[in-house]
Amino acid sequence: MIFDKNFINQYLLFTFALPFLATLIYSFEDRLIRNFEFYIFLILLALSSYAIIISNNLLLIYIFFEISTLATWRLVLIKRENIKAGNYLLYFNFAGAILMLIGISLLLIENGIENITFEAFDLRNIYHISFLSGILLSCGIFTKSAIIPFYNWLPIVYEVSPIPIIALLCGIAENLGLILFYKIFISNWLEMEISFYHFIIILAIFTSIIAGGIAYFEKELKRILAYSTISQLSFILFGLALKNDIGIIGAFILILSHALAKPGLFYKMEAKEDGSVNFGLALLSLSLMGIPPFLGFIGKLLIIIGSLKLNILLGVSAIISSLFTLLYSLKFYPLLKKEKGENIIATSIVYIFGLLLLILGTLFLIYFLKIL
Amino acid sequence: MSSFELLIILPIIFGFLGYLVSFLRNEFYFLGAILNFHYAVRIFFISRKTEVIRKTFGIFNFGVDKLSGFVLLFISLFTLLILIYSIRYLKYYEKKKEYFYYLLLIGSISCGIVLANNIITLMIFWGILLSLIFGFFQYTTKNNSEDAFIKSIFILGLSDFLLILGFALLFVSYGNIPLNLKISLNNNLNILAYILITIGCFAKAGAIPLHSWIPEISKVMPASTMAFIPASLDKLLGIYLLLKVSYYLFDLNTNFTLKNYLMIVGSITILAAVLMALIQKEAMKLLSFHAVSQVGYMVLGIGTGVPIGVAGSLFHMLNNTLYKTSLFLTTGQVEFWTKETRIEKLGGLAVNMPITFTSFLISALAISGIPPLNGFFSKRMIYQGVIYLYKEGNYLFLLYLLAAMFGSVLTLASFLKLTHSIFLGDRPKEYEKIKEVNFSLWFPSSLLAFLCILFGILAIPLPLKGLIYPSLPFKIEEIGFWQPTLAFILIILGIGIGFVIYMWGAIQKIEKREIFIGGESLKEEERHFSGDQFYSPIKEAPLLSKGFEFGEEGSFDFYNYLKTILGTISLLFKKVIDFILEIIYQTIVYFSETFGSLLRKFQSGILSDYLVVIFIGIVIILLILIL
Repeated sequence: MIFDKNFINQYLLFTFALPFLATLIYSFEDRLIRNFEFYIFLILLALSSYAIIISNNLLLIYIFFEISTLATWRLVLIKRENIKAGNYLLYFNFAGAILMLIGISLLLIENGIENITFEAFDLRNIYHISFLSGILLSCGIFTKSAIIPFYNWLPIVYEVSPIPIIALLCGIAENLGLILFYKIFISNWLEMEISFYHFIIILAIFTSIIAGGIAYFEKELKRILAYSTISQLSFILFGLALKNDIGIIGAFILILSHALAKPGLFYKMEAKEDGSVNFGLALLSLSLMGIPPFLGFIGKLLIIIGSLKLNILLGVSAIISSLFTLLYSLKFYPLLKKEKGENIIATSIVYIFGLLLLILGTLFLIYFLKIL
Repeated sequence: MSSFELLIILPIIFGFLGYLVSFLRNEFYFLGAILNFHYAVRIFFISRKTEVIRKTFGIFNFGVDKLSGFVLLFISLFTLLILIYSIRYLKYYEKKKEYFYYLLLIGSISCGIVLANNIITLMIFWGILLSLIFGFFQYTTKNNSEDAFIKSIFILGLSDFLLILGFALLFVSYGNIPLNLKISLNNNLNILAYILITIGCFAKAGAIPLHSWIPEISKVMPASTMAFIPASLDKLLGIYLLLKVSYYLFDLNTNFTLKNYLMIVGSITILAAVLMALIQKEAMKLLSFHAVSQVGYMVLGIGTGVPIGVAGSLFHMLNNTLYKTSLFLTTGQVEFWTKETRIEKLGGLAVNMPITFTSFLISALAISGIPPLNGFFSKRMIYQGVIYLYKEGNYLFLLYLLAAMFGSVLTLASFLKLTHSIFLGDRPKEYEKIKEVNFSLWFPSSLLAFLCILFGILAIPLPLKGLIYPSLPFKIEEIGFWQPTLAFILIILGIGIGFVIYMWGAIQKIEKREIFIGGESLKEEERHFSGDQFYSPIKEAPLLSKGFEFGEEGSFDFYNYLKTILGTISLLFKKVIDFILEIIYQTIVYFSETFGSLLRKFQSGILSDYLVVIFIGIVIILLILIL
């Protein structure tokens, strides 16, 4: 059921709708970001990410990928003094995109496509990817989803950007790289060297552990959460690159869980003190730590089982990564508890997202673990 | 719905109703706990007759055998008793509605753990318990101490992740198996899975080296929480799982080394924790070290692999939950009036609180292993199991036996100290008007103390033949000769004769004089001799002094080491990898910006500059074409 393309698309559309709607509603209350430019680029980001989800054409995907980069760049620059962070984002994503473009052209040559037509870029026509073009394509993915060695832009951007923009970044924009990886390397029938997947798996789990460690080292709240985002995203990539059913389903569940938990945690900084907000915070943190019955647990469990099927050491590294998650979560939890904002909508977002994680987690536990 | 689902769901529903409806709050909570107990009793009686397995919601699989029926009964009994106790004890506590709701939730989820019949169900319920403990500890910590909360959640979470890894390993090789396959522990994968799962059990029950969260939370938690989580529930669950994993899921008797691993952990736990307990000056912390130390006996007993030893360990788990919960509750009763748990400030309360004192004394004697109380009987069974190892040719048994017996002696010593300092000796003036606590406060601890006596005197017919022996998958043969009833009569006789001799002495006249030291008579307040100085010479003993010094500073605390190691690793990641990448990108940015500014200089807007550029360009093109 889950590998039905339509189902995946609907699932991802639903996933992205939640942080998008949260930011939209939040923006009505926030005078700082409530302007024409914000709404234009918000919609551009949403539409381009939806286009990436539903399109099956490499050219279209690339174009919308670039549009989403543009939109995030302008969104970060909505506070004009963030010029350095904005530049960082643009440099990195632009460099990644160029490498990706080279990869795409190599891909066309390898597949023997001579007439450059629109149909030539169709993902179904591509049946062979060499190691080199695979790596070049991955560079774009790595910059977008912040995998080693292209993650440095993310903490800098998170440090200065307004909260709703960060929520959009970690809820929507950075997942696009993972979706692209799924579309090109996983969902298609490909002749691909297995060593490529092994390379990605090792790189991803390596990034996850390192970013988790750095998150534990960091003192400032936004930076802890930034490195936590890097760690989580690379953990999802790890699950996808395992290339077995259980790992991929786990990765998709983690995408939803992360798209709810991380924006919720950021919104906690702006939330007004209320009885429900600390409860919501506890739910979000528990889901991030990967403790049942929350959604994050199911994703992690499936990925761990999937990785154990390949190699026991991968499972152990996945547990180490989870251990760091637990450590830095226990570090930011008291810090976040003390944060107080003014916004009442942020409070409800924290509460609703937390409850959603609990409810969806329980439902998934009952109905989705049957696939095991 | 069968009683399986009702057992788990009803407390959750009634707890939620109690959370919402403020004027019937206590009634709803009480009803939830009572219903939980009712269904637990029903399931217990069902489990005596047949083995029931039920499938619910796809992968979830519940079942009950004789062992789980027995553990279930006591989990719900403790939930009920501690709820009754806390309603009065935490009457003026501001977050009590959340407290009680979590208490009920934890009780019902623990029932789910015990009822779980396959590894995925067990793993999920075990994890849900952690998330509930996360909430529960938040609402119960006094003076907002984050450290104890973080430490306990980290240790429990770490061990949970390892347990999940262990179960996932099993899942990958065998699938979603039920818990009674008796897989032999011969290949490396199974051994690894077994060790990982035992780590989860050790952290829950509190065996060394994963014990340090229990003394840490004892500083900041109310007595009811201490009695509920570390003293009763976590012991029941941790030892239940260890037993289930060792003799139902795997067969521990197929691996000689793993048996020794368990027994070594057990012996070290007994000795190290009891030594630490001896020098404590705070009643709750002292009790919490004993809560750790007693786990050692259970782990040791399970590790023997001898039927009588395993049965003794299960019996000891039951006994320990009885007397340890009672000890925490009675200390809480003292704290209820005095607002004090430092033992130097207490004293002479036996006259004011006779019922509390009696329950405390009985429990203290039981934990020290004084016949004919229950603690003696279970310890004796464990000793027998250890001695039996001699027949199997395991000559390490002598060390284990010494550790266990020495631990028992030291337990008695430290409870002499505690009993003296709280209930005997001189009473400070401010405590003269203290009265006995309410019925709802003294009832739970008195009931537990009564059970301690009952399970001691009638050990063989009641708990052993009724609860323990049928729960285990072996045929158990009694070794040696011990008749608890006869012993009880003899002891009563002995006490009677002693009393007569004492009265004989008391009838004669005693001459009273002023006390003086060094020629000066003592004032009234200087005569108070508190028990906190007991055994302080041990602290200066040549070999032990360093050990105590290290122990006090937390050198034996696994958590500190792990935190330091992980902290160093994270520092390394930050300073090496992050830093190097940052430098690389800064260099790239620097060069591209310099190059850009260089190019910008050509864009001066002056026509002659552009002409020069065009000319240079033409020359270069020509050169390329010519060459």
